[in-house]
Amino acid sequence: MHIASSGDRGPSLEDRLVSVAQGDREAFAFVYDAVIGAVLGVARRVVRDPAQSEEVAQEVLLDVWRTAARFRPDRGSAMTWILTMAHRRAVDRVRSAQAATDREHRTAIREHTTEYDEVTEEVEARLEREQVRRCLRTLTELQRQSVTLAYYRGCTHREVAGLLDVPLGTIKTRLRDGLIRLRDCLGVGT
Amino acid sequence: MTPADLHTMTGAYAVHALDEDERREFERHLTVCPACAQEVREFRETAARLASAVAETPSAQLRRRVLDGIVTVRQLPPELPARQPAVGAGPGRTRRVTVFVLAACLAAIGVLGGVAIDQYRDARRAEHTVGAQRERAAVIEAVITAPDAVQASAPVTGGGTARVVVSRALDRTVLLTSGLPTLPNARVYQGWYVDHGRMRSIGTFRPGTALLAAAVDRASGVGVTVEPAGGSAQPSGDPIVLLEFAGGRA
Repeated sequence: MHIASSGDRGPSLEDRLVSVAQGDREAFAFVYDAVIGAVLGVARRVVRDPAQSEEVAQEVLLDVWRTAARFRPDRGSAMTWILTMAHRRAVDRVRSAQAATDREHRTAIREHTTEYDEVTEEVEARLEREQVRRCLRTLTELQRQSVTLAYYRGCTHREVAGLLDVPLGTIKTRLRDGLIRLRDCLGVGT
Repeated sequence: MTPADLHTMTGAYAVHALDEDERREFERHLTVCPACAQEVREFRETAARLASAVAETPSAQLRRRVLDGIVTVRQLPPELPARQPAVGAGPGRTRRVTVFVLAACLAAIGVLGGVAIDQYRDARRAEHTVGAQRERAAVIEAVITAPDAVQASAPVTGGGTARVVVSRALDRTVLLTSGLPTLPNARVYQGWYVDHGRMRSIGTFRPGTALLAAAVDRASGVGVTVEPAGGSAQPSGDPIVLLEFAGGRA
C-alpha cells in the first residue's frame, strides 16, 4: 500500500497525474494502485455497504481519469485531491440516501448513537498507521468524536451536534480544534 | 454570520460537514480569506491521512472494471485561466488549446467506434474489442498530443468537414471527418496519402470514425475519395477533399 509518500521512487503521483491527463493508461494504472486502498477504505467507513462502497470507489477513480487535467498541484498533493473527492462522493451517497428518511430523524439519531461506539472501536482497531492512531489519541474526547463522526461517518456538523447533544457552535470549534491538533501532530504543512 | 463565525467553519468545510447553503456561503468567504483557504488545504491533507489509515484491500475485479471503464470515459480539458480569443495567445498556448479542442472533437465523433460517452458506462464489452480500441485510442491520443503534431482542416465537397493531424516523429496520421453524408451500401470513403503526385491508400472508413494511418514517409497531404465497397488500389474519381500537411515542425 502506498501511503501519501510520493517521489521516493520513480515519477511522483503528481507526475503520473499529468500523464493521466494526457490519456496515459499505464500512468492511470499506477495511480489506481497507489490510491485505491485508501479510496475504498474511506468509502467503506462512510457508506458501510461493501457493494455500494465499491461503486463509490469506482466512480472516484473514473473521476480521477476524467478530471486529471483539473488537478492543481499548487492546491495540495495528488493523494489529498483524490481522497477529498472520495470523501465527497461517499458523503453524497449517504446523504442522498438519507434525504428520504429525514422525517424519521429521531429514530435515525438513536440508530446512529448505537452504531457510534462500534464505529470508533472499529476505526481505532483498523488504523493502519501508528502515527494517526497516536495523534487521534492526543485529541480531547469531544474533538475526537467530532472529527471521526464527521469524517468516518459522513455526518454534518449539525448531526454531530445532535448525536453528542452539544450545541452546534461548540461542535464547530471542536471539529476545527481537533483538526488543528491532528494536523500539527501529523506534521501536515510543515 | 460574522467573519469570525465563518472562520471557524474551516474544519467542517474541509470534511464535508456543512449543509449546502452553509457550504455556498463559506465558499464565497473562501475567495476573500486566504488564511481560511490555507487552513482548508491543511485540513484536507490531514483528513487524507485519516483515509490512508483505514485503507482496505480492493478486489481484483474492481481494478479490471475501472481500467476497462476508462476506455469509454471522455477526459475533460484543463480549466483555462481566461477565456480570451486565441489571437493574443502565444504559439505554445495556441497549440495546447488546439490539442484539447481536437481531443474534444475526437471524442465527439466517436474514436472508440461508438457514440461518445461522457459518463462511465458499463465496460463489460467483448474483451478483444476493448483491447483493440484501447490500443488504437492510445495511438490516436499520442498522435494528437505529439510535440511535433501539425494539423489541417477543410470542408468536404458534398458536405461535412475533414481534419488531419500528422506526427512525423511518430510516423502516424489521424484523419477525422464529421458531417459526411452516409453512402449507399456499395460505396465507401477511402483515405489517401498524397505522395509526390501519387495517391497511396490509407484505408477505408465509415463517416464519423477516425482513420489512423502509419508510414507517412514523404507524403505531403491526405485526400479522400468515394470508392466501390472494399476500396480501390487507385482513386477512381476526384478527391472530395484534399488536406496539405503544413510544412516543417509545429
